[in-house]
Order: sequence, then C-alpha cells, then structure tokens
Amino acid sequence: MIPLWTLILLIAGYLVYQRFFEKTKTGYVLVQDIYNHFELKRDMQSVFEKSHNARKKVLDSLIADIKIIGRKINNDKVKDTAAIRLFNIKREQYFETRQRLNQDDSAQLKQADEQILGQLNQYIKDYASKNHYKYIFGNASGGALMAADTTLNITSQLTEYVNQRYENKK
Amino acid sequence: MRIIYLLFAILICITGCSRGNANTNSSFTTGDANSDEPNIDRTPVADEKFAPLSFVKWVEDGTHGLRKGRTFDNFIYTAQYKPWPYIICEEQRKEEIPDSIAKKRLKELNGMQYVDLKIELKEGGGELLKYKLQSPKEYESRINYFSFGMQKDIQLIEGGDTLPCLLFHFERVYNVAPYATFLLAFPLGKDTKADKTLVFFDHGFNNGIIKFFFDGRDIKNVPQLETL
Repeated sequence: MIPLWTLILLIAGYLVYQRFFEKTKTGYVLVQDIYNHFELKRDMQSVFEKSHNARKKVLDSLIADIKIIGRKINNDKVKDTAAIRLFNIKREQYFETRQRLNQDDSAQLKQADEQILGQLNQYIKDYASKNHYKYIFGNASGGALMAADTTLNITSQLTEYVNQRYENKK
Repeated sequence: MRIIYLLFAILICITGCSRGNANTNSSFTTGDANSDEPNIDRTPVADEKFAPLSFVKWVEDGTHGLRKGRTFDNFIYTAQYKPWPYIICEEQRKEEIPDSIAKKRLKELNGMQYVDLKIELKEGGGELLKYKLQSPKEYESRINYFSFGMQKDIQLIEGGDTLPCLLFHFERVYNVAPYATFLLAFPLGKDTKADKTLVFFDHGFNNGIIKFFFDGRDIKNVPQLETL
C-alpha cells in the first residue's frame, strides 16, 4: 500500500509537469531548407522557366536581326542610311524588350514567392494545430532564433507534411 | 481509500480539461483543416447497388474520397469527381430512374470524365468575383479570366498522362451566393480507374498551384446505380 502523502506528491508532480512543460510544445524549422524542398516551389520554378524562355525568344530574335543588319552595314562600302535607321530602331526595341522582360520576370517571381509562402504558412499552421505545437520557430536571418536544441528541429517532418498536403495526399 | 479515488477522479478531470483547452484555445488560424484531411472510409461497396438518392449522398460524402476540399486564406476550393451514374442522378433528380434512361445517358457520357470545381469564400458574403476588388477594371479582368482564361490553367494528371480540360463551363451566381462553380470535362486516359490529380493554377485569386488527389481505389469503389 502506497502511503497517501506519496500519492499526493506524485499527483502534484504530474500536475506541475502538465501545467508548465507538456503544454508548451515547441519546435523550429530551417526556413530555407523547407522552402527549397517544397514541391510547389519546384513546380513554380518550372512554370517560371517556361514563361521566361518564351519571353527570351522574342529578345533572341531581336539580337539575331541586329547582328544581321550590323554585319550588312559593316560590309557595305556605301553606307545605307535606311539600314542604319533600321539598326537603330531594332537596337531601341531590344533595350525596351529587355527592360520589359526583366520587369515581367521580377513580377512573376514576386507573385510566385507570395503564392509559395502563402501555402507554406497555411500548412505549417495546420501542422502546429494538429500536433498541438504552441510555437514553431523559424531560423530566418532576422535573429529571431539565435540558438536551439537540435532535438527540437522538426524541419524534415514538416517538409514531408507540407509536401503531402500540397499533393493532397494527406 | 475513498480519498485516493477522489484524488484520481480530480486528476482525470484536470488532465482532460487542460488537454481540451490546449486544443480549443489554440491561437492558430488553421482554416478548415478537417475538410482538407478527412479520414477515408474504404468499406468495399463496388458490388452493391444504391438507389439514386443514396448514390448521390455516397459520392458527395468527403470520406469516400471523391470530394476533396482545400482551404487557403479565405477561400475554400472543392473538387467533386463525378462518376457517370452520379451525373444521371443529378440530372433526373428522382428516387427511381428507369434502366432505359440510365443506359441511354450512360452511352452519351462515357467518352469523358467529369469534375466540378467550386470556389467559395469562407467568410463574408457578396459575389465571389468582387472579393477585395481594387477597381472596376479588375472585376472585368476576373470575369474574363474565369469565363475564358481559366480553362488553360486546369489539367488532369492520370498516371503519366496530362489531360487537358476539353469542356469548361463557368456557372455564375452573381450576388446570390459567395461562390462560383466550374463544370469540367477531360478526355479518358489509358486507365480510367487510375489515381488522378486535378491541377488548377489559380491566377484569379493568386493562390498558386492547387492539387486535388483522387485515389484510384476510391474510384474503383464506386457502387452501382440501382435502376428500375
């Protein structure tokens, strides 16, 4: 027979553990790692490459035109003013198109980033809620997480979870 | 001895309450996570015959794997895979369907596979297309996108094949309800009962690529329709 005071002590100890330790379940993720291994990021990368290559084709064809006209101007003994005018127009078009391509690339990358982070954040919140995490910290470069016990690193579990959620297989 | 029992009862109550609070008082806004991750019930019913109303109910039950929901931000995306008998039941809306009608309609439907995609607002009313509008021009461009541009952003991946969306219909409800439904049809792949993933690249509300996975086991498990 266990003495009563031992039992009370055990119960009190358990309650203290419940109150102060178990409820503050925390973990952290290596943000760059999870981002790089997120399937949506890879899919968006391939979408971006397709659109970038399509835009670049226009630029490449302008470069080819400029080279042909330039070669013709250099080879002609008598300077053809019409060819020079066309060369200048094409060169102008090239700079404008290159600027537009860079702007379109940046806008698409920015939008893709928002979409990737939007889904990633949603899945991490769901993971936290489902697994009763009070906090999941990220090691972003802002100094929010200066040091952490590696046993609290949940990057690999979370990466697996977010990819399954993205593929809708969880 | 009574004191010990009493202490144990108190302990169980406190533990139960603290766990309950930990779940319900969570400060995370998770959206409708439950609809995203239902527990699939794969009780075999492929050999059973269901009356039209029960058939519709079975197909629309998320736990049978043919209705998938995804929640992002304030949007709920739902994809409903529609077996051919389900379409017949929806069209007839009767408790009993004559066998001749079912067979005739089945012949017309069996060249394609059908999915409904619904986009709705989780909170707030009004027309879906007017959600957080910046300008009247943006409204026009949304109407244009959902009426004509969206079709090319939808594909069905079946095994190694990517099937384009061949038929597309945008069902607008204007200001009546905060959702829009899109009726989609795809060609048949090599194996109609293989795993399928509906892929939608949402350019309308900027939520990125959204996937809906339909497990081949759930497609094979569709019951038969009981006809007269």
